[in-house]
Amino acid sequence: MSLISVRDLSVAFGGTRVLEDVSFDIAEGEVLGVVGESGSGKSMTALAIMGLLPMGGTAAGRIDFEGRDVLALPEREMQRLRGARMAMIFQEPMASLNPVLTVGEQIAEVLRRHRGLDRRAAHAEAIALLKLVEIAAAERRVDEYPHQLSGGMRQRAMIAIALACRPRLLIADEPTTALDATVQAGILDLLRGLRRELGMAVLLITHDLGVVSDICERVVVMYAGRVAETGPAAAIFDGPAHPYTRALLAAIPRLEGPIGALPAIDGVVPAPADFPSGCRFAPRCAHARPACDAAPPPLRALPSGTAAACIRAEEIA
Amino acid sequence: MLRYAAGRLLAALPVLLIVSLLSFGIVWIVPGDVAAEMAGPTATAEELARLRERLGLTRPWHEQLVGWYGALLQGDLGESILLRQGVAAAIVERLPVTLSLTFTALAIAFVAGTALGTLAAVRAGKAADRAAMGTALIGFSIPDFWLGLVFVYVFAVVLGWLPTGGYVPFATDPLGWARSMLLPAATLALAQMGLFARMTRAAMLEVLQQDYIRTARAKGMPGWIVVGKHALRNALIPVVTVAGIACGVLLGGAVVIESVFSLPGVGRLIVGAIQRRDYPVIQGGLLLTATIFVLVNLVVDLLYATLDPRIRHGRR
Repeated sequence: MSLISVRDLSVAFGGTRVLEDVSFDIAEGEVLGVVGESGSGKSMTALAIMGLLPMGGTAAGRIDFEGRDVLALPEREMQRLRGARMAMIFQEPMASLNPVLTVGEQIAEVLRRHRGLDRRAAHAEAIALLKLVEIAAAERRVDEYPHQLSGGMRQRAMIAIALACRPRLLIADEPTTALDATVQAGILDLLRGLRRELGMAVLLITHDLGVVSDICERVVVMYAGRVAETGPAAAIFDGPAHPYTRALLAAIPRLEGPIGALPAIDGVVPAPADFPSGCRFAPRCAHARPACDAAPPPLRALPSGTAAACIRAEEIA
Repeated sequence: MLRYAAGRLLAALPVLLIVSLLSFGIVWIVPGDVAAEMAGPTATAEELARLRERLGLTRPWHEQLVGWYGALLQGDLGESILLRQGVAAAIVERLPVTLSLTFTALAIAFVAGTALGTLAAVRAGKAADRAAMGTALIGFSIPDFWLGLVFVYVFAVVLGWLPTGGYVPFATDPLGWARSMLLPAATLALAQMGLFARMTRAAMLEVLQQDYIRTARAKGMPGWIVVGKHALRNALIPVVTVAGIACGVLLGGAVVIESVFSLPGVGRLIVGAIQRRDYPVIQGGLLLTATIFVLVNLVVDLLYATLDPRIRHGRR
């Protein structure tokens, strides 16, 4: 049975639907990668799961987490899940930590709230958590403020906060995007190791397909608020069926082979108010036909092992 | 932190020096003969000469300056001509009244203002926001002397809950002190409360947009901890800065309020001295008011560093 099952999730702000018919499952201990350009709805999906949509946003559909529909849970119940059963880390580690509270206090607070530890025990556990995320001199760092830490250390501290209560699901929203390349590798190694050690499921949002091939077992490719393609990571990389997935893969720079122009996808993701009525990728797609504009194509299982939302998937393969 | 505190203290010294120079210079700045003005039109030449001698006006200015600082360092602010009392003693006698009034008003304004501003920000755009900001605007716009008279009429004359005026020292009767302070301090506080409320609302609205507020919610913190701990501590940083300025305004406003509630404070002492051209008292009062203002802002700077660790560590 899956840990979390998202069914026909849609998110709207007023009359504007930014997310439509998003469905996927994550099994216990599985790492699911969600990829797509900026504006494809990756973060909105994550925030909907956490019940943290920005003001004015409403979610419809079902999100079953450990057997309960979190969209139907009252806020008080959600507060008990957040930080305890499901946790989230964000893109900007500097902006995501409170500048006027020590790192230790920001970790200890979660322990006191969800695990009922007293002040001393929480402080000691905070040090243990900083050691778990491999921060050197944790005894000293625990009483420091975010501005005294480097970017990589801040993201490690964020991970320590997220893991404080050993959540079953960790949502990581572009956790390495704001960091230097060498630091990125360290954070990813850490996440990989911790996930093995703690056996938690991870929803990893990224636009970096290299990261996906590195640590994800399954992948959801999103475009303009809908799922374009989904399947096991190996199948997606070996036999991408959706033109958008193929274009994304073609845009990865390769170290081997001749140096040539890097193929880019022309145009940008449309704003939610301008989403086309048919296939949303059609205006940027080289294989588009008039039929593509008729209706949004449903996800179809394909022989290659993935499911893609493209009516011409077999023809162009 | 200690280095920061020492730095702020050193920076305050030149201000105090300038203020003391200004206080000294008042006698030179006023047009005409200070002694003649003080003694009045009926004074004889002999009386004028005696007064000049007493004020030290017969000596050259540099000797007077040295004498002024020499006395100042010993806490001697000269003699009041009309009170027949040392200026320092006269001020010390009345200082508790003014300080009680000012700081009670500051406390009321700060607590009520930040509470009102926080409420408005959390309920931004809703009825509670409009009600809170309406209250702030009313507080802002009502003249304090008029409000003081209304308060006296309603709470003292009609309802009889509180005294109409007068001062009870804290040491003799704490409850009586609180009762004597409540009306004047509330009157004085109202305008500044409006200021604090508007500042807090603006700062709070900005802070509530920050990523770390989302983090706090993602940690499962209940709303009152997110607002009261994570947001408020950040939002208070700019508000505390304004508290220093508000304190100066309150000190000035205390002069009027002391008259309305017949409180024997420094404000009334200075007003009386100005009317009767009692220059030593004016000099001492100016020096004292400015010193309090400088000290309050020193405290504000230290508070600022306590709230914001980035300042404590010399960043930003």
